Amino acid sequence: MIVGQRKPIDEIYAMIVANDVKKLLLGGCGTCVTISFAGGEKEVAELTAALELKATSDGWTLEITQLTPLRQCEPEYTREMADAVKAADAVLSLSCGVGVQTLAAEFPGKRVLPGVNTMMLGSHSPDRLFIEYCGACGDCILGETGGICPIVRCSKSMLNGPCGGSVNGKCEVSPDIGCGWQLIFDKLNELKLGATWDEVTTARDWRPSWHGGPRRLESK
Amino acid sequence: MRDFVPPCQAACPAFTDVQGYVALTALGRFTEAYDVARLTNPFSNSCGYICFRPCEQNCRRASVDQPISIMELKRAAAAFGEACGPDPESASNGQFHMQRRNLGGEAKRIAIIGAGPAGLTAAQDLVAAGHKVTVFEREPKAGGMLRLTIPNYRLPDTALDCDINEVAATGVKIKYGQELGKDFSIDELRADNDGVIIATGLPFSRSLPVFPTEGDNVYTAIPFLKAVKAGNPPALKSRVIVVGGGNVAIDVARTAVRLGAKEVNLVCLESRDKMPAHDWEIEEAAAEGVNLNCCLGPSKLVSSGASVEGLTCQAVSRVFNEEGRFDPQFVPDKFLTVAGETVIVSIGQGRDTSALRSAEVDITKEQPRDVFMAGEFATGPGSAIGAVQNGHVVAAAVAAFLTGKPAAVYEPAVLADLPERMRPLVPARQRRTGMTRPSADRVRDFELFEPGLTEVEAAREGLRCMACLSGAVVDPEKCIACLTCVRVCPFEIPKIGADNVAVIDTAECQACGLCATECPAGAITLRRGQEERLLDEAVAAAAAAKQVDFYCMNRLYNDADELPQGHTIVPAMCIGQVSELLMLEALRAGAAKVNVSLCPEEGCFFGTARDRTIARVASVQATLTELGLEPAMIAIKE
Ligand SMILES: Cc1cc2nc3c(=O)[nH]c(=O)nc-3n(C[C@H](O)[C@H](O)[C@H](O)COP(=O)(O)OP(=O)(O)OC[C@H]3O[C@@H](n4cnc5c(N)ncnc54)[C@H](O)[C@@H]3O)c2cc1C
Ligand code: SF4
Ligand code: SF4
Ligand code: SF4
Ligand code: SF4
Repeated sequence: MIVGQRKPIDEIYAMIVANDVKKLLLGGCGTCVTISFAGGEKEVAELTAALELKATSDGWTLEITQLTPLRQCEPEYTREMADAVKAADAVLSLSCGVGVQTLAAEFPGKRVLPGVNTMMLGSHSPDRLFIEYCGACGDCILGETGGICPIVRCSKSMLNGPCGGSVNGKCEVSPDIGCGWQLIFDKLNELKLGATWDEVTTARDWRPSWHGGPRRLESK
Repeated sequence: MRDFVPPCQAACPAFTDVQGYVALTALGRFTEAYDVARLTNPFSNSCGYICFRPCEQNCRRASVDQPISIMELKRAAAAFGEACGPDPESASNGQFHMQRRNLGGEAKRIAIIGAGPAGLTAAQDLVAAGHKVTVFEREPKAGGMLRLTIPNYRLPDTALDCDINEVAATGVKIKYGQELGKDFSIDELRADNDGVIIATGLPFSRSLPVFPTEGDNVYTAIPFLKAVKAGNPPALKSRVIVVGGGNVAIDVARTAVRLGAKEVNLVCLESRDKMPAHDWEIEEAAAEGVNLNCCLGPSKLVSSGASVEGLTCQAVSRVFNEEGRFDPQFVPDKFLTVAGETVIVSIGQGRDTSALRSAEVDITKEQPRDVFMAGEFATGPGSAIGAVQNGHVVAAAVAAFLTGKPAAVYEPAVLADLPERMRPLVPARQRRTGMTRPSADRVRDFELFEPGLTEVEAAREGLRCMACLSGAVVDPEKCIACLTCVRVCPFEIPKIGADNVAVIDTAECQACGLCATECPAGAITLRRGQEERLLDEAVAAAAAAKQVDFYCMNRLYNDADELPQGHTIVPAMCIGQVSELLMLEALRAGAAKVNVSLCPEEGCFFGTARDRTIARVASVQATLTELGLEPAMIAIKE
């Protein structure tokens, strides 16, 4: 899923003040960012309380309406927000960047501000640690790498084994990051596919990735 | 979704919101607790002393250790709260906790005969529904058998007076010294009113064919107890024989002990374990020196001239037949004589229908539509709270008859027992009951034999309540199966069900609220409006004292050497119920300081609550910092 992280509140508050927003629609998104604790109904309520607290202490009149459709990335769902959007000076969207843009497209002339930083395509463990798993590169090679993605799990997106900075299974970028290629190597061994380790990956076609300009995809 | 109620509430014939008032007692908020208890039971103060407490027999805590002392908490609520309305005669501006309610509608005139629990409950309900009610009582005071016969060592007059005053204060008019069959007839009442309720109870004492009912030194229970309560106790001859094995017989025997009888022998047909009296009453009587002579049927009074010398009894081989019907059989030729100079027969009560037969229609045979029967007159022998319940039922029937609108039916489901796997997880806590005075001391007077709980004891006892059924409910429309609840619950209760929606077993849930506060989709709420309650109380505390102290019941229990003090305390079942939003709302409501109490790690029953609370407070502090506000406005209190 798409993992988001709520922006620092001071940044959000500054945007509100800078845009002279008095009536704000705080729009959550009921799917991915809900699961990643960044923009669901709960965060919308909490952010509302925090912003109102701040506004009151500053003497800023801020009226906040809360709304959390199932998904902000589908016009059919964002349309439910039409009346509230109309009534507001601006919308603060707690969805990922897709939702923010869908909203902006759906409601021309309305300022849509992002309240969340879209972080990654990832997953989380019960202890709430989110890890990036996929780079949406457009040409998946997980079949060759034991199900571990070298594009995002190797800091340098190396395709043919680790760089010289792999030390004791950790990446030279940070000791908190496991070396992607160490993970791949261990996994292939576990799968008794250690032999494939030697096969050289041929030059990769990056055209389906972001290097060919904004991607469009027609689903058949 | 069908409503659920905890079994304590379901077991109370008057459907008392036990959990509601127990929780308030736990916080030392006795007046509010009293109001809750009284809402459905106009005799709640009296019931706090004499109820047979079916609620306790059904309390879910029993499967962990022992039931909550529910009855005694009702007593504490009335004793320590501002319970009693003043004397209604002088009470034009008195403070009553039951507001006069007028639900509107066309006022009808209703007469009720008998100011016992049934009659007065029905009266209060009908007044609340907007009708004009007059109660006709032959005695100079109201309360029925509670007033006339229940001995003062079990029920003080002050408690009963309080109940009666409150009923009167709602607008019920009671006319005293008015006896059906003497001062008025049923036909007169029918002519003057739109409806009549007969609630005259069971004023007759039964006797035995084997000897004369009354005579020198032979009494029956009701006149005997009535005389004692009225202050004219008969002079008892030295040894007293009480015939009967029910609660009334026990009252008679214990009263005889207090009147100075040298020896009191209770004789009954049943074996000790089949005696109809409650176990605790039998034990209390035995402790006061009442001798039990079980499995004996009285057969002949032994007397010489006018003086009684004893009672010859025959051994009983069985009391009930195979179908469970009363059908005593005796052992041939097995007799024994219990010696004694006074005999008091207490083998049951009956109703008085004399004045009803003489009516235009014989009401015992055919009931006109405008005549209703309530309480023990209708149901046969029961309990005070049973009479209250019947009073409610009959009032609803009367109201339906008078207005033509059928009474609403509310039948919630009852929460199941605490599942086996949860029982060892709930920390055990010793039940507290009001101390009993030493028997040698208490038999000397008619003062209460149990002094009752102190305020602090009552609060601690209240904190034992598990708040059954204030736990989590999932809204399937909102759940996105994110697994957060599954991961956060300390007891692994939530599961993602077959239709990809979280399912939470109501019977297992311990109402810590962690899942509800963590669910990112806002799909989980707590029953009984816990979130709104917490918010309301936090806002009130912030407004009143500029400070909010969130506490969990666990910690209050462990700390409770004294009553929770001040207006700042906002109690939650578990601190896990306190969400970041709630903390922020408390600040927004004007609190300059919000404290969130934590249980020590070993002391926390809800495993994951501690870590989550620390994280939440840190997150709110970070928010405050980001906003340039003072992070120390919120703090953890270890
Ligand atoms: C000794 C004793 C001990 C008990 N102990 C307990 C206990 O510990 N716990 C418990 O729950 N229950 C107890 N009960 C039972 C409880 O008292 C009754 O269930 C309850 O009082 C019944 O209520 P009621 O309104 O139906 O009738 P009652 O309480 O009998 O009230 C009837 C009223 O009608 C009046 N009345 C009767 N005839 C007339 C007439 N002709 N005209 C005008 N007024 C009339 C009476 O004076 C009385 O005030 C006890 C009963 C007795 C006798
Ligand atoms: S009235 Fe009796 S049964 Fe009802 S809650 Fe009170 S003690 Fe329990
Ligand atoms: S623990 Fe409390 S709520 Fe649960 S049954 Fe007992 S009194 Fe009622
Ligand atoms: S936390 Fe909420 S949304 Fe997530 S599974 Fe549980 S009920 Fe559903
Ligand atoms: S987390 Fe708490 S409230 Fe939720 S299901 Fe578990 S015990 Fe019940």
